[in-house]
Amino acid sequence: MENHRNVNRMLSCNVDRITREVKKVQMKDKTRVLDDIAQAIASLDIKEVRTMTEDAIKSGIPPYTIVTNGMARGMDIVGRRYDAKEYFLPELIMAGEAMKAGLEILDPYLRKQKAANIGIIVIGTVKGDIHDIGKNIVSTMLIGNGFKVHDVGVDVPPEEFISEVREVDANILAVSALLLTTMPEMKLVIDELDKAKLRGRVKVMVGGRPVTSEFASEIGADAYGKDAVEAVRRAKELCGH
Amino acid sequence: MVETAFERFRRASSLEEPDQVPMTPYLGSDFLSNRCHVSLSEWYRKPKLQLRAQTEICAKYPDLLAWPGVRPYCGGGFVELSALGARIEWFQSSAPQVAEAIVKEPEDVAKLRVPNPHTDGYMPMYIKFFKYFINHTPSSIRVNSAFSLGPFDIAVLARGINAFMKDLYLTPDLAHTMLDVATQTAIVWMKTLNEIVGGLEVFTYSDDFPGLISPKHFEEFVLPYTRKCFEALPKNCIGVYHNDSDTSKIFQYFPEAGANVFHMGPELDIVEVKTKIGKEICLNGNIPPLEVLLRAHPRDVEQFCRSQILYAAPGGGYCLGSGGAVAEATPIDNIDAMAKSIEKFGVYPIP
Repeated sequence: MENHRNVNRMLSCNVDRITREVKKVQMKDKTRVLDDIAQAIASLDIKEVRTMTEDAIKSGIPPYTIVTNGMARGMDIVGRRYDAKEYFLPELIMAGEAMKAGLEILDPYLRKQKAANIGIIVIGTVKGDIHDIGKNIVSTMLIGNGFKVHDVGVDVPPEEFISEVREVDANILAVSALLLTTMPEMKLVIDELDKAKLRGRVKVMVGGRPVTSEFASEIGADAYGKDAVEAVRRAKELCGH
Repeated sequence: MVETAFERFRRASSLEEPDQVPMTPYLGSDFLSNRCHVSLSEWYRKPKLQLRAQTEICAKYPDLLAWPGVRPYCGGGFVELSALGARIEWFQSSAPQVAEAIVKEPEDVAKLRVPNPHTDGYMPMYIKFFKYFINHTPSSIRVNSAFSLGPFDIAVLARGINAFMKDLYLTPDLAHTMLDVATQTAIVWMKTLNEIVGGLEVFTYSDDFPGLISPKHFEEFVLPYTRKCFEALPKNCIGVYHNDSDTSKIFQYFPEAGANVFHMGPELDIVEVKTKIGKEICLNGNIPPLEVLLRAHPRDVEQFCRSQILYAAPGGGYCLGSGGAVAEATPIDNIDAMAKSIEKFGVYPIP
């Protein structure tokens, strides 16, 4: 009888130990899957991102964790390679496409989790300015990095920016200007946000060729991005990531 | 002996030392329309206004007669893209723009045809403007310079930047098809202008988007096409390659493209560029248009120009220019400061 109880005790300890070991392996596997997603995005491999994202869902990793610990890490690697001038605009765009491919698979799961986005951004070019190439690249990169982006286009008066911010409940307003003559409009947008009593909960970031970080500080913007990669970094910081 | 503007530019572009460093700030449509107090929309439609503005500015800075030369301004490629079938939108305070991509889906590439400059888009209007210039320019001024968008920029604007950048990876054959048409378009346009002018002596291909791609993509998607464009230039025509974006990873290819002169942007290190390619191609630039020409004091502009001249001018093959178009509100005192720096430091031989 004593032997029987000892054997049961030993078996029970073994089962606990084995369960712990299996859990460790499963955790390693999950970490590996997330690493693989990050690497697939950094390698611009859209097909592999889709496959690994499906694997990640099957292995029970929460969808928002897949975004932040897998995909967003991949985009960080891409950003660093861009800074090092190993990656250029086509690579940024392809990485954005790879991430979008993964997000499409996660979309139904993220909706259930109600944590679809890192942040909600309204982006546009100020009144009197019709340049949009840079703004469009920034939009693509933000979407690729898990933001929900509402692009209000070009030649946008301050009231329209504010109306959209209210409509979509944005937490970031990204304003672009490519002309020296239209840069002052950025201050008017910030003033309008203030007047609408939204300034407290909406962060403002600015960018565009003639814009500088000094100008951004002067007009009271919260962040300045000198290029699309920096814009994404600043946006993430503004959302606490 | 004081050389004419053209002689000076030709000698610099041939990697020789002229009498002094040519002064070639790119005083483009933004700057000149601002001086004339007209909107850009009006500027692009009025050859009489453009001719008067350029004649006046060239009287003040004669080296501009050589480059960019006295010619109708065709801002940002709207003329070339209109001839390919793009819908163009006109704005008060910007150059006319392509309203939407011509090739929205890959199958749309079948729509692309090399244009007939005498009938397609805004090319006939521009030809008329050129003829106006030829018939109304004082006899002391040669209308012998023209610009065109380069093949890569034409293809990007025809397709849309995001889509074209994806094509480089996903559908390279499509990109090559578009680049073929773009190259033929740029060449046929250059040849037409050559005929109108009675012999081009300076021609500039403006191709900024290549600054956004990798060296590997540049080798495949830009170099062969740009080379064809420069090979097609008339004999003795000085070829200028304009790219004022960040070309720090690709500038070493530019001599291979066949240009005589590289008009460079402000992000490049003049010392590095001069060291690596200065014996193969004339350098034009690269004073920062915003940080220096727009925002700095004339005294600081003069000192900046001095250092440019000291680094890049010895041995010839250098023009003191802006790293891109001069901003519209640039004080004329700062352009004067460029001229003063040449008087003081830019007369050859330069130690």
